Amino acid sequence: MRTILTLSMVLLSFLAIAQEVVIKGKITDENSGEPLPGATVQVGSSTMGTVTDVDGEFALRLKSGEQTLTIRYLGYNDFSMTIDASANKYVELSLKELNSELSEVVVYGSLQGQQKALNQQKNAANIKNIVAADQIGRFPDPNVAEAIQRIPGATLQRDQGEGRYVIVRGLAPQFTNISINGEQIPSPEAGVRFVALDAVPSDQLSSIEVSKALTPDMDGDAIGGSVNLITRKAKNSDLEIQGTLVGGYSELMGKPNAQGSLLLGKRFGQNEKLGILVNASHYYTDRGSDNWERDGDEIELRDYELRRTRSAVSGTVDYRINPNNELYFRGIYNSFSDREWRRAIIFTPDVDDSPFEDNEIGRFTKDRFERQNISSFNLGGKHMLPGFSIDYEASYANAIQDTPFDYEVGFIAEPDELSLDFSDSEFPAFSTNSDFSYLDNINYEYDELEAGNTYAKDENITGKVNIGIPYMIGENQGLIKFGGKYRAKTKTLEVTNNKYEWAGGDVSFDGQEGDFTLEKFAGGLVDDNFLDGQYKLTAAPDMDKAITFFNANRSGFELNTDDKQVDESVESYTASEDVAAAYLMTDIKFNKLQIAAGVRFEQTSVEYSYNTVFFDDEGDLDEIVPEKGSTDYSFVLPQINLRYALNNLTNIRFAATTSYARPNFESIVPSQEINIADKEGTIGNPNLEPVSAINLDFMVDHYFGTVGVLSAGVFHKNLDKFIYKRVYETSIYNGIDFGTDVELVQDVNGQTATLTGIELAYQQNLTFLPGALAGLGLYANYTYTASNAELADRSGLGETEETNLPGQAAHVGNLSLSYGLNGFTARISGNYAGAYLNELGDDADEDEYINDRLQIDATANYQINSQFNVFAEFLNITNAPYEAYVADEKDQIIQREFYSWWSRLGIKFNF
Amino acid sequence: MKLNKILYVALVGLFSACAFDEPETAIQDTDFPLRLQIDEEGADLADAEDYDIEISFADYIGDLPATEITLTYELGGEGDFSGVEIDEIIYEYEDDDCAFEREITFTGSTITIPVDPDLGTVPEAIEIKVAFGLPEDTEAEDGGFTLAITDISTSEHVVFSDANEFEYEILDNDAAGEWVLELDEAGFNSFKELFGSVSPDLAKLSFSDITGEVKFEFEFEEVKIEIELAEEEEVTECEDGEIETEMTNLIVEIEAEYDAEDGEIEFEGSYFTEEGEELDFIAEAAYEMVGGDLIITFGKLVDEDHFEDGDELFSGEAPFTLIKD
Repeated sequence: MRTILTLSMVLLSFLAIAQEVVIKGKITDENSGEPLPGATVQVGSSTMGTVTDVDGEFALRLKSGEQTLTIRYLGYNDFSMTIDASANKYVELSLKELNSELSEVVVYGSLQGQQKALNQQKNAANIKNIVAADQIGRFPDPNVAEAIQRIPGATLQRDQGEGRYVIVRGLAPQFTNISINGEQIPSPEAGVRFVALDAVPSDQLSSIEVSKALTPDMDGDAIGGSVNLITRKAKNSDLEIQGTLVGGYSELMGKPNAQGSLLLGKRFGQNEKLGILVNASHYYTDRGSDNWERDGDEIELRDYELRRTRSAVSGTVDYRINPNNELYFRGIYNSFSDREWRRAIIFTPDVDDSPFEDNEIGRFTKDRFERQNISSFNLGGKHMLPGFSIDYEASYANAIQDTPFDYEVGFIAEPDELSLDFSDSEFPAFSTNSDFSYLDNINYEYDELEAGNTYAKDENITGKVNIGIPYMIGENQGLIKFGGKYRAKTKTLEVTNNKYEWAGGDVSFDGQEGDFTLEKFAGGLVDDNFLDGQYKLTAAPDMDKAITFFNANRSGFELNTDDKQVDESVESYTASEDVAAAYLMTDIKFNKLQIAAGVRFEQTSVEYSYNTVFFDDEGDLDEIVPEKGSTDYSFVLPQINLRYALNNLTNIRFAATTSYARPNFESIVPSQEINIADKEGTIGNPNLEPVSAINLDFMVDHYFGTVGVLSAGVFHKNLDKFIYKRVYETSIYNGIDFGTDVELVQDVNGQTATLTGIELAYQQNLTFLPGALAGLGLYANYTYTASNAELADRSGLGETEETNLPGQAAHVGNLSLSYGLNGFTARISGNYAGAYLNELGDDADEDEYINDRLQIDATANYQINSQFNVFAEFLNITNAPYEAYVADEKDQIIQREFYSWWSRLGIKFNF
Repeated sequence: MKLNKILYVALVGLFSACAFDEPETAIQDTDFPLRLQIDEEGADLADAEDYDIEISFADYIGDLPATEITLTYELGGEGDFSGVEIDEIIYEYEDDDCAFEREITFTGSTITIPVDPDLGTVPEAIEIKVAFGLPEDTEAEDGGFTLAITDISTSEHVVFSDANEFEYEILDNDAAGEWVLELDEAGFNSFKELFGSVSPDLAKLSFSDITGEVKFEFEFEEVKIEIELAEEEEVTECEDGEIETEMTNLIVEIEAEYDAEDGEIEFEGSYFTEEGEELDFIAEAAYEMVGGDLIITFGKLVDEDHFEDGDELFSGEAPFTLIKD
């Protein structure tokens, strides 16, 4: 009975709203004309109102008649206006900056990024952090990953010193989903789901949203967070031209880097109905690193040389049919390339003095090119109709990782004596018998040439629809929202891997004849200050010479056919994944309390085809069997987000949400490689279940009218069935009798894990200070997390262990101090990521940790006028290394990698 | 100024900033050819009358060629081998567990590998029997011969290995040839104590299980030790369509490579443990010729898991007297 009454009330409320008119509008900055996202639009003194979207636009349903609208925006004067809501209208409002009188010390436009971000954060129904485009420009962050590291609770996994994967709140990258314009993008990498964000240049975006608590209208597979990258859109009928030209220098390689970007945007036609924006950028850098790594009793010196490029084109075409109806098409294409030359020396001593082993020193050169393309296209519409609103979208996204060539050639020497000394844990030493020199290339005989290529493709086709129905409960306006989504994903990996041994006897090359030894094939770059002069290097195998010789002497090379068939068939697979989702939620405001709550349902079906490889008793390839499999799972995900606004500047927030994380494809596809002779193998796990989580958040955020925020929050996550690698012995698996015990490595579900943390953030422009000190600004955040995960029988000993979650660093933070005066701004920034468990080993002694790292960057810019800004950036000033260690012992170092500093100098223009 | 210069440098930098997406030299291996290879070297006792040399395809994926292949060769010898010539060339074809030997035609300078009508392709391997042409009951004393494949003619994508020459020499170490070790129970126990650790089958035997005869066959760089068991089994063989069934004694075999020089001999081989793990082993011994007998005294036997002092599989002295077979 009560239900019927409630439904009747809601229907009556709908009828009341049916008498409404729709007011749409846009709020911009008075000076720059920039849209102001996150502004509150309040109707009279009621709780009715809305918040402007990322384009500064809003839509309100009002009863007809005269109404007063009050607009509030951090850093701007409040603005009130009266409108006659007798018919649907489109209103444009311009706000005046609160601090314009401080223009002597505040750089033009420098606050706008913070203003946009903080206004959106303040008024969001859920807990999220936003990085606006012009805020990204405050830090020297050329790619999206590095821009995200500045928000509270985010750390990065790096590659060659550049940020690549994002870890949100101490959860590994696979726990965070990545979207462009609200739709998940696939991963170009084979086997995994997470996206390398160094592929996306930050200058393509209007903002980055990191949601730390989900609402039911968001994808549920995000335990750590959900990152949404939003591209730009044309603002008005004035032609907008923005661009950058940057040149720089990488100290380690002594080579330049450069970047350029150009954005053109304009709205056309009567009432600016048609908007077209195109944004393109290109970046390249010649980088390198000096590295040593330890693997058990073996050490490796690695000298890297890289050419990286990052290019992107994005565009938006939107058409406002009328103020209440809009169609749009958004697209972005990102291309990241990485050419890598790696010259390595591997020292492998016969530590046991075994007559069956030799001391070996290997000299290897790797030369490979890899390109990652990520594209996303969204076609959709938004309509405000009488009584309800609807938006819909069809999108296509694909991600490709193409490695057209991946060559490695190796030569090996066998000195009579070879010993390693790890007493200096930072720089291990080695020695050989006195009459052997590891720098003499004549000692090294050809070992193997490996030449392969891979092509991985991940493709999403998605359709979704959302419907919003406004309703009133008393004087409180709410919105019932429901919708559905269907996503079809296909992921494939093709592998070619050829290994060539030499079976041709003596060689003749480049005027030299005799044994197939390195001195005939050495060349290329020699780093004479490798690891700051700690180790001497000599000319490494020259890939050009090796390949030239191969092409001319193919009849002397022998293809390892077993390895080729095994590698190619085990690694290749095809998978498809269909996801169907539906949700129902409400977003309602009772006086100061906003509730966004509801439930989401997601159903996932996965099918895959793969190969199983069998070896005979002597370890030789016996049989390759093509197989197929499937799995499916579903989740019901209730979510509730509460925001209580103590006043216009202070919120208390609470969220209780549920979410999950899908297993990586490489973990779930049950391809297996069992080597009976070596009694070891790796095996997929078709029974692997997704990780599910219950998340609790409590947060207080207070905003300063002069643009700033002080926030403090605690969060707790309870993960069930988290995934880790288990090593165990068995003689039978899946009905296959191996005939002997085999050590298998397999991803399995663990027991429960918990993650608890505290997040603190403070940022403020200290404009209240006297005189020139008013130009100071502070940006600081700190996150502490603690985790506990139970591993059942990791090493097959029947023991349950407790450990941290991989990726979780206890301490993470940013501290940035800036100063602005008369158009000049200088900033010094520190980004700290504490040590964390990176990868679980066979047992605790083999667990790999990444050491803490503090990177210090400095930037300076000068606003010449409203159109030109010159800037300089110096990154990694202190040459902070990347370090890994094992067994939770910081002196058990297994890797140190140095990048030195790099710099950029450039100009930005905006017409 | 300077703004223009900055712009200029940045533009120049940017336009030169292509991805390096091509290797300096691209590998040409998308159509990696099938490769024929020849044994590189061989040797036999001085009284040998001929020698079989194998030409075979290296490991390959896919099908063998379906058209004939012609090889051009040069065969020449020195010393006692100056009269070498190809006696016959055959390949083996198996059908229903029956082996058929089929001959291949050749001339004084070419060998034509035909397409086998049953296989539909050329055979995977051929054997070239080179006759030495020595007078009957004559032992070679010096010299050797070489067989080189100098050219290959084929319409298929097949090459001949850069290592295209076979070299033959007289097997002249003292241990070469076939020897018999006659064992009593004590001798068997000693033999078993030595080799039982690298032969799980031998370790299970007792003296009553064997006939007492153990054969040592020292060939070119390889030795085969055959322990004859008392138990017999029925063996059926089919050659060229003729099926023969006979009772033969079971054999336990140990195979290894060996290197004999200046009275010292070292054996290197591998074995599979009861658990299926393959382990390498090394046996060290001294040898001497006494009155036509070969006395081998084993001093140490180690494998990959047992090689440290005090942990050897065998350490001590185990002499065995081998009689020329």
